[in-house]
Amino acid sequence: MPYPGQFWRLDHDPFGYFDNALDSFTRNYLGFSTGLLLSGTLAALMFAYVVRFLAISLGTVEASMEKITPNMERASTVMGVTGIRMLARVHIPIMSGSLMAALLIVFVDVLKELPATLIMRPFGFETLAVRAYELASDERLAEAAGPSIAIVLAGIVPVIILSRAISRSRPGQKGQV
Amino acid sequence: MSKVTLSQIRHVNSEQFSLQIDHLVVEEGEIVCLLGPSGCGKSTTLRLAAGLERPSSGEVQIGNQIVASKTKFIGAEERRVGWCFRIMRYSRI
Repeated sequence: MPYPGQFWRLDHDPFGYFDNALDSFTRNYLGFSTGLLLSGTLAALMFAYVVRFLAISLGTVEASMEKITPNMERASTVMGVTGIRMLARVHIPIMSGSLMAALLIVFVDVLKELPATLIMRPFGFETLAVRAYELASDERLAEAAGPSIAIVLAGIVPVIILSRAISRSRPGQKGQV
Repeated sequence: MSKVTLSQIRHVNSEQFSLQIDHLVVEEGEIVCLLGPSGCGKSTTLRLAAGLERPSSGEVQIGNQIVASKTKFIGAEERRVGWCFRIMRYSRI
């Protein structure tokens, strides 16, 4: 189970090294400072999110790719649809449901993600989870209710959409949740 | 429908499956049934004729046009060959 310090070691050391190297180079040779380009911006946080949630989304997308058989691609080729057009007319329509599901799952997970966000966020950057955590830590529980309920509401809408999409994809259950 | 000719075909695909066809002619309007055990090359023969695979050597001719040879290859998307594939039903999610 990863703990927050691992994100620091994995992400911030190379990012910090790159930032320091670039900054010292521009200071010495160009006469200005670049600041913390990676470790002080959202780039490091985005990288942490990608590393953390890639496995979840990749599993969903891979499962949908397995539904595309070689015969589907051959049928497309025989009918003159190849390359990018095959991607647009065969692959994406078949995978669209799973791509949407992966997007929603990652969206909900990122929305409530706390450890990496707490450590790697730029100064002054707050998410709903961070806000709720800080207020709850200060025992301001009533004020923490606002961001907490916002997380629940923002998280439940994608779940409803996903459930409807799954229901529609099954025969005999059109539109039922 | 045009006459289809496969001659002196030697084919080894990426899975090291090898196929050899000395001479196969399907005349215009003729109906041919390929019979054989699993793995003998029935589907590969059809893929070679349709242009879904390029033969390692030999020649494929549709009508009067050479569509696959040592120097020339016209892909399936340009051959105007029909093929009814067996595709399993799928669900979107």
